Amino acid sequence: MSTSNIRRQQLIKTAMMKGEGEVADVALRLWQPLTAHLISIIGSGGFDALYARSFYLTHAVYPWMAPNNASHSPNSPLMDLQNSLERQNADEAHKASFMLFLTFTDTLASLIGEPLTTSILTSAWSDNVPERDIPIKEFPHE
Amino acid sequence: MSSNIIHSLTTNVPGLDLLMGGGLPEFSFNIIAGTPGSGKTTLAHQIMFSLAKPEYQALFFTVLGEPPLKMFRYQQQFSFFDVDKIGRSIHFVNLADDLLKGDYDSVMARITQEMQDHAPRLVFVDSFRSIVQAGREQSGTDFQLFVQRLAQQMTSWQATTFLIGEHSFPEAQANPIFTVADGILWMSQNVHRNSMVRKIQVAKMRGQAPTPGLHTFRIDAEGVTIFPRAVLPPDTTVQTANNSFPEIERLSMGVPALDDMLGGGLPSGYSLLLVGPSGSGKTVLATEFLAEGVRRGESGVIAAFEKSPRQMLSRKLHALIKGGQVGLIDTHALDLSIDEALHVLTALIEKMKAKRVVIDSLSGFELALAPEFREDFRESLYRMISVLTKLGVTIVMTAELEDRYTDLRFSSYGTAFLADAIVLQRYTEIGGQINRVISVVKVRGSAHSRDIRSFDIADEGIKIGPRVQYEGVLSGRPISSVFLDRSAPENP
Repeated sequence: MSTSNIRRQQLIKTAMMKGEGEVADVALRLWQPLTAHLISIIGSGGFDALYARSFYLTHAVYPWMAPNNASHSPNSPLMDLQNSLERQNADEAHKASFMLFLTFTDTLASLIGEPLTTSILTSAWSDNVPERDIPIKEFPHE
Repeated sequence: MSSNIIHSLTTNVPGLDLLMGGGLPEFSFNIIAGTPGSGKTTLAHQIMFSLAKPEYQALFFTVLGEPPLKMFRYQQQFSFFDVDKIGRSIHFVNLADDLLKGDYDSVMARITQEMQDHAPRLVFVDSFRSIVQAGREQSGTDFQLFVQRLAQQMTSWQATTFLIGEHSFPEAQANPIFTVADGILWMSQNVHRNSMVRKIQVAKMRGQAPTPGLHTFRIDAEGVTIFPRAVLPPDTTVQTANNSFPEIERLSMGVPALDDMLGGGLPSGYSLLLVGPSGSGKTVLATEFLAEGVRRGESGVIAAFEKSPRQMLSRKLHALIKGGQVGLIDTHALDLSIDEALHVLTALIEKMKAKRVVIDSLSGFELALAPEFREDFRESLYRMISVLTKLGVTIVMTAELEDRYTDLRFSSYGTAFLADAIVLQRYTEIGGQINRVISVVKVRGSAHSRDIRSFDIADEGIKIGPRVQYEGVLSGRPISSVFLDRSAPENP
């Protein structure tokens, strides 16, 4: 996927950087509000389909990221992610976590456009990323 | 008709406010219903994006049906879609999960919660049919109660509400939501032969007097544009004290000899039908009419329904259009409705403050109309001419008519009676040559020449010659009057 918007990439990087704790905990704290926000707008069916596709694409690069098919709780996809990330070293886990966010938002942006995707991210992470750290200016080549 | 209590909102959807009888009544509970693909969601979004502001919040509930992701994807193609309003003035909420729980109470609880969170002034539910279908297993009484509660809830929350649903007319009659609704908008797309025409009807609008009947609309990059059926304004002509007709101003046609034939020019506000076969010079004469107006400081409009501008534009007409004194309507869009054509024409006439209008030609205009409107062409033309002449413009319409020498006709549509004046052009064979002749057949309320005169198109313009010295020109068998005089039997 090469559609990543630089502003969105920066937003994801900032959100991951600002989070305190282990990579897995940070990822969970970012996925939870994003999941809630998106399910509210597009429904759980829409969110699940997008997440499953993004997870599949990320899994192709990081095969150790695998869903635990045994669990069926509503939060199981995020729990599976947390478990997978916890088993890796911080650097590898960070890269995989970043790729999942990027792939997910790339897919979303390809469907609903970059401005709306960035707007949803900003809104969902308003508690995680202080307003002063949200990149405002669009890049000229965007 | 609307009282002071009911405040009307301006939707900014072109034509819609007029159709609803003066805007959207605030706090009303409305239904946008119609067939799939008829533009219901687009209309709802257009109204929402126009009205929503930070101090006037909107809540858009999506249910089952069109996936929200696709709705966002496609609706963003319209110019009214403003991403910056989302999350600030407009909030989208998906009710699918609540609905799948299977009871109206949980749906109502979610709606109530969202209403409390956002305090919206505008609420949309798309599609309401999903709620109806999901509740099929429940009793009808439950659904009726749910609708009643919803309507009450929305009104007491001071929200203007739209339920959007795929409903057909017969099933709608038995549906309780149509009884509860204050306003009902029907949208449809009708296929006739190979053409498709979109229509909208305001079936109900409590507290207001909507424009009755079906009205055509178009969906383009700007969204929905409605063309309300043209209704003739009341006649405000005031007769003079002595009941005599006031002196009517005459407009020059740009050809002095033709002005003479018309009895001193074409009376202002008249519609003239210029009839003739292909190549007889109708467009040239119409161009002279416009050019003469420009010479006198009157701007004009030409609606070119027949030929492409490049084909049509003579150097003279091109210069007039380029100079900005004549506006060009190049309508090659198919499936036009008469009201859309009229909408475009009146907008340009008003913009240019035009006094002279040319419709070239009626044949092309008829072809541009969607087939279903062609069946009512005479009626459509009557409405169009009436509306245009009420604007105070003088109209020249061209109509192609093959020369027939066995009957004398002035138009192929039986529309000659609609015109106040008729000028006929014909070909005739004289002395081994094809010659053009011209005559004035009719000028309502005015004396005019009865001569059949020769005419020609030269580099310097139209040249009208003397009365032809032949008889039987219209029958295709001209005989020299001189010959007739000589051969006439002498009186005994």
